Amino acid sequence: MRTLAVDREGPSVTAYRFRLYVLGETARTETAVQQLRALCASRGCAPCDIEVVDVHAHPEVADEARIVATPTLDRIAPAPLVRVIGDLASDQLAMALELPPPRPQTSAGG
Amino acid sequence: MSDVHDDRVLPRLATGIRGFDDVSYGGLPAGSSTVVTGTVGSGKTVFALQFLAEGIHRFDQPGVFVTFGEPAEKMRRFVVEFGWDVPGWEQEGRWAFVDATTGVEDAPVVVGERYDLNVLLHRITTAVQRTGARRVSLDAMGVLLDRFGDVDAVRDVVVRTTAELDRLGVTTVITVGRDDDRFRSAVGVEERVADNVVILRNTPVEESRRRTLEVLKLRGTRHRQGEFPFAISREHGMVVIPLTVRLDQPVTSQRISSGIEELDAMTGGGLFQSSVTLVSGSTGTGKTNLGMHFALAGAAAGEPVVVVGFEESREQVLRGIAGWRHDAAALEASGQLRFLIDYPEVRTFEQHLVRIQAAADDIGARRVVLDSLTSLRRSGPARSFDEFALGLTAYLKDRGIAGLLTTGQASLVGQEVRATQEHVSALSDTIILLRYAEVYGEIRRVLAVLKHRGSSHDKAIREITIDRDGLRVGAPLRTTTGIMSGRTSQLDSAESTRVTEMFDDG
Repeated sequence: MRTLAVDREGPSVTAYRFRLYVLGETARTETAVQQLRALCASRGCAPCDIEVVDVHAHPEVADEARIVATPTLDRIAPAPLVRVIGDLASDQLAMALELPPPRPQTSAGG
Repeated sequence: MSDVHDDRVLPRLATGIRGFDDVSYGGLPAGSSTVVTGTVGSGKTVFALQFLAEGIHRFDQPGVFVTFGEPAEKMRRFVVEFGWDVPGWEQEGRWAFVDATTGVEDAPVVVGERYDLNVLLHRITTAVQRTGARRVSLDAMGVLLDRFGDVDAVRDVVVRTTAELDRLGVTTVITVGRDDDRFRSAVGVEERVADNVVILRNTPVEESRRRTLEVLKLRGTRHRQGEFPFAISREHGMVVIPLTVRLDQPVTSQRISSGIEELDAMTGGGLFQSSVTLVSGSTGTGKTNLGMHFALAGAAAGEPVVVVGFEESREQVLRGIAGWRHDAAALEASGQLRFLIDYPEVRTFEQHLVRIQAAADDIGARRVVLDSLTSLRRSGPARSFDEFALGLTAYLKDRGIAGLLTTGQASLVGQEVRATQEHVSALSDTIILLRYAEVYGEIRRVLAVLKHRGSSHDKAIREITIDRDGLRVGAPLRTTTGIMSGRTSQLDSAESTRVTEMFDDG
C-alpha cells in the first residue's frame, strides 16, 4: 500500500485528489485545471491528482454525485469531501479546499 | 355553475388524483407546466409525488421526480408511507429520481461565480428519455435561488427546462413555496414558466385545520372556481372533494325497499335508488333501527351496504338488531354489509368522507347508511361539516347510491331546525321525522314522511312501535294534533275526520 512507502522520518505526505465536473470540455476547463495544479504546487500539495468528468457524456456520474452546476470541483481526498461550485480567486479557492498555507519560498497565489 | 364541459379546451391529462380531475374538468393541460404553490405543509410535495404515482399506477405513464428540497433517499422513505412502490418502479425503469439537492451529506459547499446550471437540464432530459416519461415533477424548485444567488442563471435554467419539457410533450408539475416570492418574481414563474396555477392551503379553523385546493388558472380555459376541501391520508394519498351535486344526473325511478313494508307503502312504493333520505329524530325514537332495516334489506337483496356509525360500537349495533329477520353477522361475513364504526374525532371530515367513499367503492355499495350526522357535527368546524354533507351527497348521487343519513334532535318533542340541518335537509330527497308524542297522557313514538321528492306520499303521522323484530309502523294518529310543534292536543273524531279530508291526496 501507498502509506508503506512514506518515509517515517519525514513529514507525512497527504495525497490530494480532485474531480472537476464540467459540461463539455472547453478552454475554460483547461484553464481551471492549470489554475488548480499551480495552486497545489504553490501549497506543496503533491501528489495532486485531477480527474475531469464531462457530465454531458456521463450524466449518470452527475446523477450519482448530485451535480447541479458546472464547473463543480470536489476535493475527494483527503476526506471529508469538499465541494466548490463556480470560479473562485486562488486564495479563496485554497481556503475553500482547505489547502495548506503557501510555502515561504513560493509566491502566494497562482 | 354549469357542469357542461367545454369542447374547446386543450387536451387534458387526467392526473389520477381523485377529485382533482373533476374540479379541473379533466386534469392538467397535457404537455404543459403547472405551478402548484402553497405554504409549508400544504401538501405540495404529496401532490407532486402522487401526480407521478397515479400516472404509473393507473395509466402506465412513466415519471421523473426532480427533487430540489430533500434528497432522493428521504423521498424514497416518505413515499413508502403512502404505499407507492417507488423502489419497484425505479427498478422497472418507470420512475426516476433526479436528485438536485446539490449537496453532499454534511459536506461544505462553497459557491463561487460564473457557474452554469444547464447540467440540470441535461440530467432531467436524459432521465426523461431513459424512462420514456410522460410526467415530470419539479419539487421545491425555489430552493435553487437560495443555493445559487445568480438570478440570471436560475431563471435561465428554469425557463429552459420547462420549455424543453413542453417541447418533449411532457406534462410538468412545479411546486413552489407560497412565500417564495423572490423566486416567483425573479424567475417570473407565472409569466414565463407556467400557464397553469394551483394553490393549496392549510389554514387553521376552530382549533382544527382546513385543507383546500384552488385552481387559479388553467391556460385560460375553464375549470371550477373556488376552494375545494381535500384530505391527505396514508391509504388514499390526496383526495379532493368536488362539492358539487350534479343536477343533470338522470333521475332514477327505480324503487327500493326501506326494509319496512308500511314505510314503503307510505312512500308510494319505496324509496328511490339514487336518493338521499334524512331521518330526523331525538334519541330513542328509532333512527338507528330504521337505518338498520334499510341496511339489512339492501344487503339481503344483494345490494352491498356500508353502515357508517359514530354512536355505538359494532357489537352494540349487532346486539340491537339480533333476532331480526336478516342475520347481520352472516351478511357481514358474506361481504354484503360493511361496518365503518369510528369515533368522529379521530379523523377530519374530509378524511371520513374519503374513507366512506373508499369502502363504498370497494364493495360496490348500492346503499350507504350514516348514523348520525349529529355526532359527527360536533367534531369539527361548521363549514367543513357542511362541505362533508355536500360532498357525501354529491358522491352518493354520482354513484347512484341510495343514502340514509340520520340526524338527532336536542329536544325530545317538537321541532327544532338548525342551520346545519337546513343545509342537509335541502340536499335530501326524502325526509322522515321520528318524534315522541303525548297521546292521552302517554308518550308514544310517531313517524311522518315530511318530504318525498318524485312521488306522492302518505302525509299521516303514524305511531311506531319497536320490539324484538325491529320497528313497525302502525295506524295514523288522527285524533292528535300539534305533534310537530310539541304541543299536542286531542280532537274529537268528527273534527279529525273533517280536517283529514281537507288535506287528503285521495
